[in-house]
Amino acid sequence: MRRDTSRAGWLLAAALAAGLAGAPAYAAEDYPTKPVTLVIPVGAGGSHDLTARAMVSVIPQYLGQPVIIQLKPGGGGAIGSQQVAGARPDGYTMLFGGPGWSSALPAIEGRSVGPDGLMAVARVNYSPVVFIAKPDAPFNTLKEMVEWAKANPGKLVHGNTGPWGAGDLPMKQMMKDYGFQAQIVPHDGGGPALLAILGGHIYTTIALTAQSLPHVKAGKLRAIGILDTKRHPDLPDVPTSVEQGINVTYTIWRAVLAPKGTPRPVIEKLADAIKKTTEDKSFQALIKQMGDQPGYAGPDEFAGLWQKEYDLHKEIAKVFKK
Amino acid sequence: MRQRRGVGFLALAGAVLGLAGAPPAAPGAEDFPARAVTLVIPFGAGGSHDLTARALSSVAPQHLSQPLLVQLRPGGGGAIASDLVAKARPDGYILLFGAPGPNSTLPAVEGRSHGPDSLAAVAKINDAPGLLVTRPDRPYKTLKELLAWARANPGKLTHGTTGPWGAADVPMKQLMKETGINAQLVPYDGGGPALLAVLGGHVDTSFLLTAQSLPHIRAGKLRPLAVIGTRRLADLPEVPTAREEGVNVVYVIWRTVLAPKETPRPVVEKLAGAFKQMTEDKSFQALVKQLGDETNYVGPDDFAREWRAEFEAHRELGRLFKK
Repeated sequence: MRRDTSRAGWLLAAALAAGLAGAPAYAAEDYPTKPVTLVIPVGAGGSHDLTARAMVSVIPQYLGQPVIIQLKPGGGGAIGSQQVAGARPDGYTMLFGGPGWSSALPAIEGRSVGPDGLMAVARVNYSPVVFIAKPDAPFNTLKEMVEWAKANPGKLVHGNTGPWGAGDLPMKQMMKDYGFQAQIVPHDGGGPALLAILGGHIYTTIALTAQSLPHVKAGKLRAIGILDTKRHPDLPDVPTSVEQGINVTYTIWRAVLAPKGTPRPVIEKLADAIKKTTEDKSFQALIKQMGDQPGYAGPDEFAGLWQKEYDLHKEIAKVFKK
Repeated sequence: MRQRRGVGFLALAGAVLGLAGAPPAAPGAEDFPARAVTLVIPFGAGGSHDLTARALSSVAPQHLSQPLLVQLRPGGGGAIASDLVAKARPDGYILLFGAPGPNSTLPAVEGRSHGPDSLAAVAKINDAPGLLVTRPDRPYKTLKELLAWARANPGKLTHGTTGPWGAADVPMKQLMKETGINAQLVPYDGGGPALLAVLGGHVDTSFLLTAQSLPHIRAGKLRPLAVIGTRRLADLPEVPTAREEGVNVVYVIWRTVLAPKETPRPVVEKLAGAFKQMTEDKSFQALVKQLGDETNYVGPDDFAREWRAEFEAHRELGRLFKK
């Protein structure tokens, strides 16, 4: 009798332990049987954190289990990325990926983790960036900027928001693909770059649309191209780079990524729950408050976009890195 | 050997139940919460109660040691959700994200839904005060001038509401009771139409939420007369509160976690502690800022007092204005 009780207790403990460590991969049809952890590899309060919070507040009703956010900032996102890449590929540990730590860092500096060590689940949304010029710049469009830079070699002064970031990579890609020269002046983030262009110290920079919108509307900055395939609803008169014949795009994307080897049925269940979340009214209202829009892309579609971006960054690095 | 297994089991169970970051246990609530807690929203998707609850839910696991699940139960002006929670098991696992409409005005004035007699206060998360607005072409620039004008022109003042006993109606009735002025109350079908009515000059005044009226104020199309809260607004620091203008009227859209009345005190305290931590969370604060709000946590006893006073005040208004 006593032995039975003890044995039952031990079995219960073993069951709990199994539950903690994660269900075996063959049980994908039952997935998920416990909360899923989503690692945010950057700090609290940023756009990745807040978008992930909007998602996890809605997803339980579509996934059947809660998703718990774990903030793991450090190394520009490399620490959290490596943690997830090394986790069991059972669907219970996910990463919230972004273009910095999931494309640029691995492609250019060989650190953090890219598509070789992680796999795509789904993109939740992205924020487009806009190419901006000071209002007295001698060009009104991206196309004109390229022509002016060609005619005035070395005169174009462009401020980035840190090396290999959103303010830097698209400009380098443009220089590479369209054959012109520019001086790229490094700035420590989007705020300082914005101040530099408002002060007339640089001709151009690249910024988040939401961040530059008030200045564009006030006539203090000139939007010369959206680096996306579609126009931005808040700047409907500003053509995209692609419309101008400049085939360079860049987005600040936010996507759920999984350890390599996660079973396909698990990926599909998660992707389906994320898709339904992005169609949910509460989620959409939250995202709208952040100045963003939903922009779901499924596992195959996003894997393609991600790989393309990663390869492109590798190529740019080869040209520009000494 | 057998004993060591026992210790191992206890440690494991502890690891499962007592996740890190939980507030210190109040006596009698050691095991609470052992599973997910549900927060019922008495309104529809995308409104300010829903979105604030989502912000709470997104940071809850770290502070509550269990998930907080948001459940939308709109209907009956919030009475359906209020009834569901008031009649639920008082064990702390089903909570209501309460509001002044369904949890003060409706029970006080119409005797339906649930107020402080059948629900218990847990934690106020934040509130949004109404703003008394008019059109810039009206002859009054302050609340005091409005009152003088209304006294000099009896029966002339028209005030747009979002329906009888709604958030634009109750504070005007309070104002009428406090100051003795008269206004014609014109009901509109929600805050959007009421805003349009003021902008279009179809009514003289209305009470609107700051987030809704701010763009029009900045564009010079609306004139703010007074904040109907207890403090000035960060976005409109030059606009005084009604109290500062000598009129004792307060009406705020509060967002407060409420529980079934008989929920044990230790459970209420543990929940209140966890909600307090959530309001101090950096991610939560950033989300609430995106929603155009601030956080101002108030604990169970202080909120119970504020709530009771509001409930009684609305009851009195009901007696005065209801035929």
